[in-house]
Amino acid sequence: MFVNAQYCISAQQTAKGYDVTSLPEPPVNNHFLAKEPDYPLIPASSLRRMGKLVRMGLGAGLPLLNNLTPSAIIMATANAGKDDCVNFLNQIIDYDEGMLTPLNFVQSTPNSLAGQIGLLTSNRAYNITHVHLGHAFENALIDATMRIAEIPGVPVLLGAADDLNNYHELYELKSGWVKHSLPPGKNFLQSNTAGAFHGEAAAMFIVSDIPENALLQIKAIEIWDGKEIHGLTSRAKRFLETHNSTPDNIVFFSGENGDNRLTPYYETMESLFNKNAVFTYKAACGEFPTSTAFALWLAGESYRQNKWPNPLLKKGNIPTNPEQILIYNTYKGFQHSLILLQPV
Amino acid sequence: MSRKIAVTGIGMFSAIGNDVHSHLESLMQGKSGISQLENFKTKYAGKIPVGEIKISSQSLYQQLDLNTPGITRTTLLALKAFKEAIASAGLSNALISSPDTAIINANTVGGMCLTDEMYADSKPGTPASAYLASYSFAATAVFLQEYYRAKGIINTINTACSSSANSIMYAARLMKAGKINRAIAGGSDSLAKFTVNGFNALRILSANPCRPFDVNRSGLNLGEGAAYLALEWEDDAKGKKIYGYLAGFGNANDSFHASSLSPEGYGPQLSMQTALEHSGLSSNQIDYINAHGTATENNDLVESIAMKKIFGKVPSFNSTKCLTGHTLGAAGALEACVSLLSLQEQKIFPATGFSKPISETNLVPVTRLTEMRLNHVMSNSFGFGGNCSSLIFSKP
Amino acid sequence: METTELKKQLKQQIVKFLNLTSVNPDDIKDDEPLFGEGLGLDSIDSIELIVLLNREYGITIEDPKEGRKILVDINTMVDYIEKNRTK
Repeated sequence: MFVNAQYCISAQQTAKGYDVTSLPEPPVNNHFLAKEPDYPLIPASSLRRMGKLVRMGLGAGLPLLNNLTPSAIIMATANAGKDDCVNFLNQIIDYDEGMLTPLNFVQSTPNSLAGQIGLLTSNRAYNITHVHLGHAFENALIDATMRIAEIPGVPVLLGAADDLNNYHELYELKSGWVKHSLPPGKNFLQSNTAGAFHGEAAAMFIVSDIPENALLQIKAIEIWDGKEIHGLTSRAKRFLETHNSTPDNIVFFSGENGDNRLTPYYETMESLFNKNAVFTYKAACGEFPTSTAFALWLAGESYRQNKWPNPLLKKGNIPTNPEQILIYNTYKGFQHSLILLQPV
Repeated sequence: MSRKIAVTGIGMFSAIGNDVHSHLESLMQGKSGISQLENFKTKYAGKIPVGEIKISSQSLYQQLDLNTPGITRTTLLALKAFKEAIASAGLSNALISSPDTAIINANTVGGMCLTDEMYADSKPGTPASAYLASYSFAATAVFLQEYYRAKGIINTINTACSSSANSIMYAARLMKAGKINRAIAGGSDSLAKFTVNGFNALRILSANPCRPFDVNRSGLNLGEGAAYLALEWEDDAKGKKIYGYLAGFGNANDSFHASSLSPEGYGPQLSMQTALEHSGLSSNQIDYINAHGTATENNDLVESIAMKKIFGKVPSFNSTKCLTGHTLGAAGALEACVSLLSLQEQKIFPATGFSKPISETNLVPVTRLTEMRLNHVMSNSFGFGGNCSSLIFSKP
Repeated sequence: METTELKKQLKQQIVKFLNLTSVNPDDIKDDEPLFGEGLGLDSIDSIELIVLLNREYGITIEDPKEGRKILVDINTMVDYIEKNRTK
């Protein structure tokens, strides 16, 4: 499967001709808040109703759909609708189950984004929303590969969006997944504390079986569940071998987020890659369940610009030529994914 | 080598039964499970009829032999029906946890069923409840993965009311793409203050037992439940009972409005048409349609228009939501199971609440228990966001 | 409250309640249709406006269909409010 076009709205200026070698803007108050562009393609009458996630998702997806009729709109999100949900809950309590406004309730369905994309582009094709937390985007990606095999020659819109809504953050805070601060003089990778800085992004892709003018090829994906560290490297080696690859020439895009409970997973994976470059993409986007979509986007931009995201380098030698990229991420240590990418 | 996908096990849990057997009894009698809300305190108790399972969550905890706190009702309902589905398919725990087995789940509300707990947890400074990790849509599937130590693909789909029809479709496509050899697919949802108030705010709840396809219908009754289907290749199902084959399916987007269907019913038309094309069947081969039939003004009219457009002469049809209520994330799977039971019994089950057809379309649903030769049955589910799904099951 | 003042207040309330960020309340004409043409509101908005009437003016409209007869334009809404408000 090839990525033919992409668009990302994130905490970096990714919506406006982003240079991958630029220094990432740090989080503000420990949050990677999205830098939203204008949204000329979203009608004002629709925009007024949209929460941030739907707005960002549409803002990233609509520009890709000019003159294109995809055979599917496949979206991924984990956090969608949480703010609307709690706003509706507040109404229930504040008005003692009296007369309530329905908009929050309707907006709290996570397939609002996919539905709106279909609506605003008059697209009646297969429309689906995957919500399986740290595997939401991965499942959506697998879905896209199947759709392309089912209907060859026709592109698919694949995307992910998660927003930093207040209530999601509160739940994360209460369950110990939010990093409060950095020790003086240390970056997030050196912090050695639990929790991460959270972020938000919408990353959209036109994917297909058409290699012409593609940014990259998604060669393979593997997802698994479980907290065991034992067997990580053998699994990764097997994954690479199955796809005619070895760790030697791979650039590693690591989902390390500075949560010291997860560091062992990442260090174990890194041990496969000796002197190869390891880039930590969450220094640019923060932690959120569909962050691998951002990693995919960053990989595409790196290939397109023929440059590497040097400021995100954790260690290793930056290659002079385009190499395969392996994305590894774990969501809270219980969901894991490997995605192998190749330049075209 | 047969490429037919067989349903080798089903599990059902709703207001009309705790398992498949009790569902069959209720369906044969047209026994409705619609009653008044009892399980949680709400201003609407006594005012809006619902399809409530009259078993408390504490009771379910005990029945299912669970000890860890923080498991939501949505998950409890799911586990019960899931266990029945895999037992009826004769799938061992070892096979469930095999890397070539997928668990594809669906729900709409997730852990938000715990309205009061979620509200309390949403206030800064209040101590975290045991449910904090359970509010996500994925919580039930995550639970099932841990419970069965499953090593295959685990996924959760949320497309509102068509969710579990889509999870069944997704599982089948994973099989056809060679990524898995079997799947347990379905969904669950429980009644909650959140959904009761939400649907009431949309003014689509009826103050009376619902009347699908009736000219005087006045809205839907919410329900709760869970249902799962075990899908295997026919060749792997030798010696097993086959409830039916998943002959075809289709999903389409109505592309009109966030919470109502287009007057022409483009989305429903397209999902039904796609399912027919996918199955290789012609419209006159469908013997019965288990309709989405929520009894809202919008849905039933539009679904009728769409059925007429696709079928010309509309086959026998009805909606069983008058018996179970609208079980949201479980609806697609629950009604798929009802369709499979219809195939098994060669009967169309009764539906209540109908007396006079919708004037514009004049379609009359089946109201009495009807014996009929059923070879192919279609089940429809339409959700918010214009998401329309149709499944076709064929008699083994 | 004077009718003109009520009309002005209602326009502001509608813009705020429905989050019509691109609309200046003073630009809404008194006889401009709220639904379809004109302001282009839809069925969810009609329910929201019924809630607005309840919260701001103590008016209860049970049937959304009845509501649509009242929610034609600012004039009809203000007329109804003046006759039926309990707040």
